[in-house]
Amino acid sequence: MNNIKSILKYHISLSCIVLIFLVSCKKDTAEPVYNEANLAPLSVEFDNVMGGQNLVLNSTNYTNGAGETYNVQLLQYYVSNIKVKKADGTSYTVNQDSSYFLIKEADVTTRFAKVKVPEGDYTSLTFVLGVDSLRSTMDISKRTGVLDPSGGMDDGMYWGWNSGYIFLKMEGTSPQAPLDPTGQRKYRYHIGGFGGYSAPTITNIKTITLDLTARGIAQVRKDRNANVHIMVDISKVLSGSTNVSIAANPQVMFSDYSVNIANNYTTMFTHDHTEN
Amino acid sequence: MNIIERYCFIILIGVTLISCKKSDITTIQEPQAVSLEVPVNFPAYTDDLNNPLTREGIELGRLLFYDKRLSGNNQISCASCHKQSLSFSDGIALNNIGVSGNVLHRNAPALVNMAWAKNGLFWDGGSTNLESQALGPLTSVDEMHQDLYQLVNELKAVENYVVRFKSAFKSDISDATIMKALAQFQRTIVSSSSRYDKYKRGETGGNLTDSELQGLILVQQKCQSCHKGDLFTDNEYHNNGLDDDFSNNSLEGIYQGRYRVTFNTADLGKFKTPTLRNVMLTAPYMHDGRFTTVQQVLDHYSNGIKVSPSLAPSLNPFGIPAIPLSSTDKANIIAFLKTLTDSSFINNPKLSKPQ
Repeated sequence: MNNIKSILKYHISLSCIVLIFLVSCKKDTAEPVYNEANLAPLSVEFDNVMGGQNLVLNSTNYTNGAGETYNVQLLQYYVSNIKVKKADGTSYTVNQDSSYFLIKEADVTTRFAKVKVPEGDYTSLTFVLGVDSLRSTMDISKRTGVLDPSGGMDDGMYWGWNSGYIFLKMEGTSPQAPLDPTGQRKYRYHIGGFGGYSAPTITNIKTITLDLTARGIAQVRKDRNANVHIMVDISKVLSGSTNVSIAANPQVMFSDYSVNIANNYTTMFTHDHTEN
Repeated sequence: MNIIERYCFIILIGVTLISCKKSDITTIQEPQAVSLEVPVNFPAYTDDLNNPLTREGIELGRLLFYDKRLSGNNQISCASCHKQSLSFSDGIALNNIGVSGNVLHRNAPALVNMAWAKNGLFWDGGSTNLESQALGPLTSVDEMHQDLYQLVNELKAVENYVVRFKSAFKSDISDATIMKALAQFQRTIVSSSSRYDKYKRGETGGNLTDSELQGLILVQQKCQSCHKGDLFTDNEYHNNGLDDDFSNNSLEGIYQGRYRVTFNTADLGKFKTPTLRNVMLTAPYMHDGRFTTVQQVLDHYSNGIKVSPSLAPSLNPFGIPAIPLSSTDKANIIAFLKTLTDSSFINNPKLSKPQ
């Protein structure tokens, strides 16, 4: 009995120490000692722009490298597998189950990827544009939230005929696009491809790493919400190593050509600043 | 205890109480595990680890398979294109009974011995397994055009479904469990009681005539490189020489066969080997239903094969693109193929529409 009492007492004292420790952390500005269990909020903001201006859906016309005019009616993409790194090389990968985000231009609430990482100062951010092959082939009941394939219809991000996620979907109209059967001049870019579950095929999974040193490192602390603000220049989808002509390629879905667009869009992310 | 300790103690108790809350769920009975009866002449079957067969899951899947709620206009069910009487095919080359009314581009495949079909589904193998396969026809605008969120709500309004999903999956209705239930039912669609099977297993009623036996030997010699073993399929993909021009890449490569999935030129024009079981019930034939009779199919193999680089080597054995077959051979093969018709399968009440 005495023994139990002393164990209980020990535990209570310990939890009190922890509590006091947590409370005392509050206003510390120096970088805390790295502890993987000491998680704090970090958000990554995906701010979609077109060149230097804010991206406006539907009403604004843009011009691509091929001189074609187009608007954007739909833009959404998956961001996943977020990882951060400190100057000393320590890196932390966010628990995969909490690391999938669907950024939709039409829904401002989706522009933040909110994760938890250990308190610390981070100089580098890495994420995947798309959905990794492991998750793409996982038991369907483990693919919930933004990965729920239920949205497989009009603005869905899943191919029913070819099991797998669409990583980036961009649609709009362009006078240069040919008339489609519905009488519209639409372009549709549905880019995906995780590499195939049995036979190797197209892989458009892209890993993006951004250095945060120049524009502001992320100081992650419990009492604040560090926000890494990223500019996503959507014009890059159509330009880069391949200048995409809407007239020549009005529809790019699961095809060899999609690789060119995926290579283009890996360059669309730049770190703008960090709000600490 | 000093004051601080006492205070912490109260917090600890509070935390414990809160954390207790969740273990308070009423106990639901475990669904009853089912092991598939594997005929002795069949290969071994391994259950899906993420979706093991249960009595409740299978029954629920059967209910869903025949339920028209699964289409956007509530007019068609899975069974509309997969009719038991036709070995779960539809008897039409390219049907137009989908929600849009558009003519489809592929023939509805027969569903037979799906539990062994573990090398991709659809004619081009685009789908991983039966669970994710369902997403294709369910959501396609030209097929069932069903909004899955809406379907979940529709089913939640039916008390019978709420109860059945609970007992099969111990969870609420979701798209994942809908597809898992459908997959479980489809894995029980086993055809193994044809006259040929009885012959093979030495059972009563397993007598084959001379002509049928001749046909069996011919099938073994000339067809079983693809229509393999007692499943009568290798579940692989082959270009069987129907076409030799695969340059048409429209409709996301629908005319290019498995190439549209792998982008490997060796896969141009390759489609999945269908089983020969119940073949007399599953006309018309090929991925686009271009042949209306088995006779036409055999004529294709004896003198209609078109050569292209991805043609199955077994169809071009000595640089001559043909399987040599006399008209007697063809008659004997057809006689044998008729012995693969399984009448107990197409009348099996466990597979038919629930009353």
